Amino acid sequence: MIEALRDRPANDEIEISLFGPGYGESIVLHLGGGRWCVVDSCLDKDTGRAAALVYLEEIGVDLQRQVEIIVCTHWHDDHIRGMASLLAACQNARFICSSSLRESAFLQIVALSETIRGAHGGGLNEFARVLQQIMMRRHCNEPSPLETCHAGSVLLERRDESLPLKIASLSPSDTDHKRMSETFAEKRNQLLSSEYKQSVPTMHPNLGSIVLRVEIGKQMILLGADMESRKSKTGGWSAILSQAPAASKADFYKIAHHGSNTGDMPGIWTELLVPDCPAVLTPNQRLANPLPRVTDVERILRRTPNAFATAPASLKRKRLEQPAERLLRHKDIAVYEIPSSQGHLRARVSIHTKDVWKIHTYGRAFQLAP
Amino acid sequence: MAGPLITPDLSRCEIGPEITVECQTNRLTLNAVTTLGEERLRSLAAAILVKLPHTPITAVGINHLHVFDARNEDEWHRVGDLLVPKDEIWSKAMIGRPGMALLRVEDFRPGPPPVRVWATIEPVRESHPPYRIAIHTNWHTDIPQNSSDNINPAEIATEFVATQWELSLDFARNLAKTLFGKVRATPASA
Amino acid sequence: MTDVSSLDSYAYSNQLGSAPSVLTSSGDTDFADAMIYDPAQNKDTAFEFNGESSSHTQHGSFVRRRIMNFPVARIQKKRRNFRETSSWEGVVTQVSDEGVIAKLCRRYQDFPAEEALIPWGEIDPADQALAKEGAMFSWKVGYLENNGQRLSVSHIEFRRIPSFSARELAAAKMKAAEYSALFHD
Repeated sequence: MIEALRDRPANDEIEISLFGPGYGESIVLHLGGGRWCVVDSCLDKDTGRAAALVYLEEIGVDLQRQVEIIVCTHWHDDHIRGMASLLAACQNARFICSSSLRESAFLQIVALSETIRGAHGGGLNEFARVLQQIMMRRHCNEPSPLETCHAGSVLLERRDESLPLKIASLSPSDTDHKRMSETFAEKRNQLLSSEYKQSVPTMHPNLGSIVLRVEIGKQMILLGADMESRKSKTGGWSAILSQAPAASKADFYKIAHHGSNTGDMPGIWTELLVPDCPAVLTPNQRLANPLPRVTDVERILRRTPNAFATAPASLKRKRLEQPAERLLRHKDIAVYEIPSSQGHLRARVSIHTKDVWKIHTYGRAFQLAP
Repeated sequence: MAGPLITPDLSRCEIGPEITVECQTNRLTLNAVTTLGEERLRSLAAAILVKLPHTPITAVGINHLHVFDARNEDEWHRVGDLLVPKDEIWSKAMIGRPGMALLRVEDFRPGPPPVRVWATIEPVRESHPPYRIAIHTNWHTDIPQNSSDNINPAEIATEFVATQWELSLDFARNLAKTLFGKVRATPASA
Repeated sequence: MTDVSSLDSYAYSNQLGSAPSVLTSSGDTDFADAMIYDPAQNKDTAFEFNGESSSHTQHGSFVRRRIMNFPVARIQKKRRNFRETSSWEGVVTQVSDEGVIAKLCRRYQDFPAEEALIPWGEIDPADQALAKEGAMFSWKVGYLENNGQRLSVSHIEFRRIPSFSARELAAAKMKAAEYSALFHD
């Protein structure tokens, strides 16, 4: 950890720290007054622990008292690694996930995936660990921290005039909730009707993911999760844009879905965000669909010149042991690392004034340029 | 083996270069010659068990045999000295230079499913070098018969093979890692 | 303490034969009497030592049981040995005309750390029908010594474990109901 990162924000200072190793995303928010919120979780390569946990411990935050809520926007493994240990450490935090995860078909898929180890369960196994944590607390007669949210829910509100705060979820809409239910039932049936045991089929939970609007004092932040756009007006970003507008536009944006064009709509930038606001993203360095592409970066830079990424979107070929290295090169088969070296973007601004955000990059993080 | 052997009491055959199947009246044994056959062995075991739901199976076990080369004769002896210290008992009770021939340790894990675990460690008595240590592990469960839950023993056995395979391998590797880690952390004898 | 990776490169590279086997048994044969630790058995014990007597209740004790006598494998010189140097468990994430893209997980990892595009030529024709999204396979690379010949080998085998049993489904439904109850607190 770099020395500069050990300083805590002032009580009247907002901080957004975005962690992204190239595959994975976690956001740590200082809400003012020593109160913290964590959105999603990824792993810190050096310690193998949740990146948010490592950072908060390094800057001396009392995890048990000061972390108020943990939000799990959706269960994809790049957003949930280390979530169970984070919840275990932040014993007084409320845990909030999408209301679509209450569906019995989804919970059956989670239960079935627990019997499959290794490469297979991934995010679902981690979500199962979170639920088991909560069950343990229930057995110990502790109050359950588990809550769900949907479009229009208020997750946290503080009407204190000196540090006013409101965190609201803008999704999932009723349409997306219904679509997720249908998807869960279909995938569960697919899993059960397969002749052989297989890993859980790919589900696309992005439409069920939680987009957050965070209002702290004079600042407004939009956290886009992995939300994508849909052609219909009742789902995805279309549903969010058709909601009643907030009193003011956001002046900081965590770009949705790793900067993809499916996570973008012009209306986000024109109706929800102030012009040229700072925008940050985590890449998704995967073989199948690496994000952001060059065209995505060009598009983002047309929207705002102040765009940053936690890591470059480039795949790294893994050098293997012999004879695998020689043999696979001969066959022209490349094994790529799913990246894990951390990049960290830290943005701070005063709660009380409309100052410019001060953004620092650490590790592999950098500012996007044409 | 030149070809299949089929008698009323014993049948044995090879499937490809990796898998051998041996079937006695009361025991079915499937072996893989190397780890290349591991996946196929597992799939075959599960498939056979599923196809024979009425077989009165009383127990099912997964065995792994790992053979390691110690770096030298001293390290080879240190394995035995660590597991069966000679100073207090054996060198006093026995004449000459007693050595560990075979050590067996067992454990019970309540589960579910309940699993009995055995680990056997023995030095390999071939010409030296190399100096070899064999770790044989057995991970098995007894299957209740005539249960009031109307449980199909073959179904339980199939589930066991499907869900316990990695755990049985993890156990074997962890044991090897712990043993050799300790051996190497122990100073060499004078 | 030796870390796993160094043990991998040392021990497994010298591995003569990690030979898995599965045994099932039915009937009353090949049993032996043994003292087995049973945690459910509590035993009251009284003993005398050096003239002092004492007694206690021991939670769990050894009981004599008939147990199955699983054979200990004898180490034999084999004509076929495989020295495994790289090993993954994989899951297919995408299928294309070129091959399959798969997430790869090394043993002892909870999450995959690697990915590869595996051309169809690498997959046995008998397995190609199984190579769909979600399919699981093992991929081993190493040196195969067979009848005096030494070859570098890359071997992919897809998993054919029968789908969930009625018991597993019932257990999963029960667990899902427990999870669901957490949301309704």
